[in-house]
Amino acid sequence: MIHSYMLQPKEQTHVTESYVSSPPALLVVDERGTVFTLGEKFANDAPRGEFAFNVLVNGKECGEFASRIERRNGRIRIFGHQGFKTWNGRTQSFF
Amino acid sequence: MLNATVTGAVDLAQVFVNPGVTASLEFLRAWCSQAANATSAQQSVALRTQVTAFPTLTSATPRKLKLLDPASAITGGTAGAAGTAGVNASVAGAGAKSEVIDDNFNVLNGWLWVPTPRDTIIMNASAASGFGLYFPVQPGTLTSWSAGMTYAELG
Repeated sequence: MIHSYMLQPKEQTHVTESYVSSPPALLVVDERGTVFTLGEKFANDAPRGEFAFNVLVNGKECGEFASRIERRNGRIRIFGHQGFKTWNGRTQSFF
Repeated sequence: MLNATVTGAVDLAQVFVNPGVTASLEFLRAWCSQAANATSAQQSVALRTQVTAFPTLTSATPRKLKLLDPASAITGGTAGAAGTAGVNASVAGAGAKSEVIDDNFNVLNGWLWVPTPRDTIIMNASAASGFGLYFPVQPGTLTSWSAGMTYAELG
């Protein structure tokens, strides 16, 4: 299910500050207004002791599962069972 | 609830579910956010249980995440009674509240609670106690709040 908060906001436009992490933040927004959220599909290969969920970019699947989404030094990165991956805005994917 | 105007009072439940007699509920996720403005402000939030005298709510029928699931044991209700769910309380209700999770967040970022596997919260059937997401203090901006909780019905 896609909740309204997973989509680009209509009224609220801001860029998430550095060192904000979801969870506990509900969403992370980059300079382009792209919204990163955790979906509701469980990953079977989550990092030990954590849940991992599908990562949604503007409410759409990006093919990644992660326990958290972070904004660090102007970059968006996710943490999954393979460690950290960073968002590439040009290729629209994590690497 | 989606982009609702919340009541300007303290200790109000924004989302409230009271298990019925047929199924225990395992709470897996809770969230809230606002879309009224881009003004940075801190807001406290709490996950609590409440007994005996429940809040007065706007009725909300639980939505399925899996369309083939059977009908929920929880129905929409305005009184917070057993087996019902509601949102956006207008009256707090006199029943005692017990804190489970307390937190604070910046309204620009919203708040998401996703427990680790051993941290999920289970309200047993016939608990005589409801569970909800509360704003312990009145938000600075009352408009355009969204909130929700995800739960699984057990046995």
